[in-house]
Formats: sequence, structure tokens, C-alpha cells
Amino acid sequence: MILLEHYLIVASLLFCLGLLGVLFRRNALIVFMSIELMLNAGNLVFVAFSRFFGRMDGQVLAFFIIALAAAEVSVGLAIIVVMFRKRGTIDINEASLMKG
Amino acid sequence: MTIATDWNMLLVKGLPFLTLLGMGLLLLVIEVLWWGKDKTIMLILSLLAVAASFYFAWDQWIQNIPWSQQLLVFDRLSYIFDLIFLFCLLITLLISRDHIKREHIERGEYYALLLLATVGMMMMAHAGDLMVLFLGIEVMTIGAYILAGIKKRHSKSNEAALKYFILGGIAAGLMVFGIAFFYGATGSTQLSILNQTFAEVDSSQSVLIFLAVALILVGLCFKIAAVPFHFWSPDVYEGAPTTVTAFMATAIKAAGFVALFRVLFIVISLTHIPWVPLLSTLSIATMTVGNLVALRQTNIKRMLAYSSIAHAGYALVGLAAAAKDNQLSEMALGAIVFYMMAYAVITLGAFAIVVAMGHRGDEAEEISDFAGLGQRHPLLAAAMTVFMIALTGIPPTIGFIGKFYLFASAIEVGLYTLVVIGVLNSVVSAYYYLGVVMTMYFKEGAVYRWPPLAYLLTTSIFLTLLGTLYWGVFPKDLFLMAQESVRQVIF
Repeated sequence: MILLEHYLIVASLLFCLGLLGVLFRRNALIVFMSIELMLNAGNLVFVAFSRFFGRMDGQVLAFFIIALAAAEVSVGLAIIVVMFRKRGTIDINEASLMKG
Repeated sequence: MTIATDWNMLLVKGLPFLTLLGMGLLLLVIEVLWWGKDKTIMLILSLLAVAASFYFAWDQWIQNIPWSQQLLVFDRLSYIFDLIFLFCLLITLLISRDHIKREHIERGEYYALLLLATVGMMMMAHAGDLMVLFLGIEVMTIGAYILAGIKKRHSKSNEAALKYFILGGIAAGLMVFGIAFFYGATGSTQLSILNQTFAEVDSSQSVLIFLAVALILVGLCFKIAAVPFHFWSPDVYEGAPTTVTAFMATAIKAAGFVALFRVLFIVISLTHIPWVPLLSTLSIATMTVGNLVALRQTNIKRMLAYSSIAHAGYALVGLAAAAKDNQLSEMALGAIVFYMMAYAVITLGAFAIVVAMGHRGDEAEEISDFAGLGQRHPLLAAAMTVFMIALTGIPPTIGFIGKFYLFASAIEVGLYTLVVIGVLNSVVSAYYYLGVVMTMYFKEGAVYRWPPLAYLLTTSIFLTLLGTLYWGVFPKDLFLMAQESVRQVIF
């Protein structure tokens, strides 16, 4: 029997994984994947609660977030491509012209 | 659950952002179809849209018929912020023209994205639902990511976009997770429903709600660049094109505050969260760190970035004062709205001058580039002096009045320590603001031929200068307007 709690625990784990990935990984693509992981953890919570309440509105909200994540990633990938062309690397530690 | 919508009403009430939305999309189409090199038509169309939108928002503000359609709300608070965003957009458009030509980034997208980002901000101001608030934030920031990185051949601009994107992504992730828990705890994301259900929160829900509130507030703190969530802003402000920085420092910050208002109106009734100590600590950290780090900046854009962090800290003084007794007080909120206007006017003026100082391929970004400006261009130097004095908060400028109202509202509720720290911070800030003035008048600068100031740029400097001084001497009407705006807030 899979309960609401299980979904929430999985979602929280996904969220923490995503957050750790953003904070500690240095490859821009992996950082983007981690951001997606955080957004999808939110989606999972929405869908799990929606199911728990027996209503559809949470699932509709998840669609909004999916659409938005797609928009965000398309812009993000464009930014990475420009960075790669300019510097030949996508290591975010290399992006350190400005400090202080 | 069905939402009955009066479409005609929605159309009329939503005209301010529908106009901008329509024009933003139209500009994208024109960009594809228009083969001409000259983009003047884009600027003219954008300005027309801003004028129309400004008229509609003003008209609705005057009419003052609060109306809520559950997902969107239309009250004076949202319309006054619409007006603030439009003012920021107007000045940004005026200072953009010559700058983007010089930097070879004059494209249709530039204008379209500015307009569409403003639509996102207006969605935030009109949000009646946490999800609408979040979508508004994302519409605004996705536009801003592109604008920050629009100088494709420029490593710094690229880096600014990357950093902004990663930090914006974290903020988005936190907020989605928070909103999802709100939904789980209360069964809705609508602010009006949350407002009712919070009255009967039991202890099993309160953990979820606490988590949700914390996540959402941290996400919003990223947007207003409150310490300790500020570290992205100096790099982004430095790397982005100066006109975009001006837009981000003013409009996006105001949008962050209106989003914070909308959320706080609801969650402030949660009595088990110590709001005043929390907001006071945030405020003290934000203004102190902002000011102390600004002291050792040599780049004017970075200095203004840290200064904008410090100003968010001052505005948070008002928010701490407003949060007393678990309901947002009108006077303090009015003071914050006024401060947002004051800060926007002054900062746009300062950025207009930074833009005016720039030459092709050699943007005047160092404070030392201002050396000798007092002799070379006395009028420009005088204007910059006024803006720096206003940012410090010295009369007779709008900066002084704004700070006065903020601190007065904090004294009213007995937050004396906070006010003392705020005033001390203003004294510290005088050092670096007046340092710019000293550099302009008392240091010898390189002598080069001064290019004639562009017409639109002069207009924008004149407008902001006029606002800074006029409202500094006669603040009453503007302040009453700010006060009226927070009187009848609906969810």
C-alpha cells in the first residue's frame, strides 16, 4: 500500500538531491538538470496531494509548472551554448570574470 | 470548483497588461517581418503601448472599484504598482535607444522582452493565487535572463545571464515546492481561500504551512536580493547591459516587494511565526551588508547594485513595522510604496547618467571615470550630485522624504533599535555616495571630447531629476496616493 507520505518522502528526497546538485556540481548542464529535479519534486507533491484530495486542480497546476520548466530550460540551454562558444567550457567555475 | 468569470469586466480591468502583452507579441512579429535596419518604429510602438497602458492603469486607479476574479485581483495596490513598473519601463526605453545602438544589441526582441517582462510584473501585482504569482515571477525573470545576456559577444553579459539563471532557478524550485505544500496543507492555492483557512489551522497542518511559508519567503528574498540571498545581484548588475541593469534594479525590485506584500497579507495572520524579529533581522542584515560592501566598490554599477541591496533593507524596516500585531498596518505599507517610487525615480536617474557617460566599446563603469566631470560637463555632474544626495537621504530630495516616512512608521510602533541602525546605515552610505561627488568635482580626469548628449537621454535625466526634486519639496500628493493605494486591499 503506497500512502501519501511515501510520495511526499520521495518528493522531498528529489528536492534535496536537486538542491545539493545545484549547490555542489560544477557542470552547467548538471546544474540545470538539478533545477529541473527541484521543479519536478514540486510537481510530484502537487499530483500526490491532488490524488489524495480526489480533485484535479493540483494536476492542472503541475502542467503549468511543466510548461514553465520547458520555457526555462530552453533559455538556459541557449545561455550554455553561448557560453560554450565563447569559452569552450561549461564549467561554471570558469564563469568568474566578476568578483568582489 | 468552477470560476465564473465576467469576461468584459476582466478585459476592462486587465487593459494595462493586455496592452503591453499585445504590443510585446506584435513587436516579435514585426521583428521577423521587418527587414529594415532601423528599429525606431519599435521604440515608438513600445512608447505608445506604455502611454496607453499608463492611461488605463491611471484610469482604473482613479475609479477605485476593487474587483477580484479569484486568480487575478484588481485593487489600488496592484494599479499603483502597475504605474511604478510603467514609469520604470518608460525611463528604461528612453535611455535604451542610444545605448543599445552603441552596443550593437538593437533588436526587436530587446523591446519585446522589456514589455513582456513588465507584463510578468503586473501579473505579480494582480496575483490572487499563489500559482499566478509564481507564473508572473517566471514570466518576468525569463525575460530578464535573456535581457541580461543579450550582449552575446560579451563574456561578462553571458556570465551575468548564467548566474542569474542558476540563482533564479533555485528560487523557482524553492517556491514551487513551497506552493505545493501550501496546496497540501490547505487544499488550495488561492489567496482568498488561504486567508479563510488560516483561521482554523490545527497543529498537524502547521508544520507543513511553516515549511511552505519559509520556502516561499526565501524564494521572494532572492528576488528582492535580501541578505543572505543577495550574492547573485552584484555580478548580474555588473555584467548586464547598463539599461537592463537599471530596469532590474528598479522594476524587478518593486515587483519583488509587491509579491512579498501579497504573500504577507495572508501569512501574517499565522501567529506562531515571530514576524517582527524575523523581518527586523532580515532588514538589519540586508542594509548593513549592502552598505559595508558598497564602501569598497570601484565599479559604479556594482556600487549601485550593493546600494540597491541596502535600499531593500530600508524598505524591509517598513515591512517589519507593518508586521506588528499580526496585521499589516496601512501607514507602514504606504511608506514602503512611497519608498519604492522614490527609489525607482532616483536610481533610474543615476543609471541614466551612467549610460550617458559611456562611449562606444568603453563603458564608463569605473567610479574613477567620473573624475573631472564637474569641469567637463557641469550640468551632468550637478544632476549626478542630486541623485547621490537623494540616495543618501539628504533633504530636499525625495530620498529624504521616503526614508523619513519609513523610519517614522517604525518609530510609531516602537522599533527604535531598528531605526537607529537604519540611520547609522544612512550615515555610512553617505561615504560612498558622496565619494562619487568628490570624484566628479575634485579629481582631475582625462580630457576627451564630449559627445553631444542624446535627446532621449537628456529627457529621461530631466524627468527623473524633476521627480527627485519636485516630490522632495512637495511630497504630499504622492504620499497620499501611496496611502490611498494600501487602504482597500482585497485578495
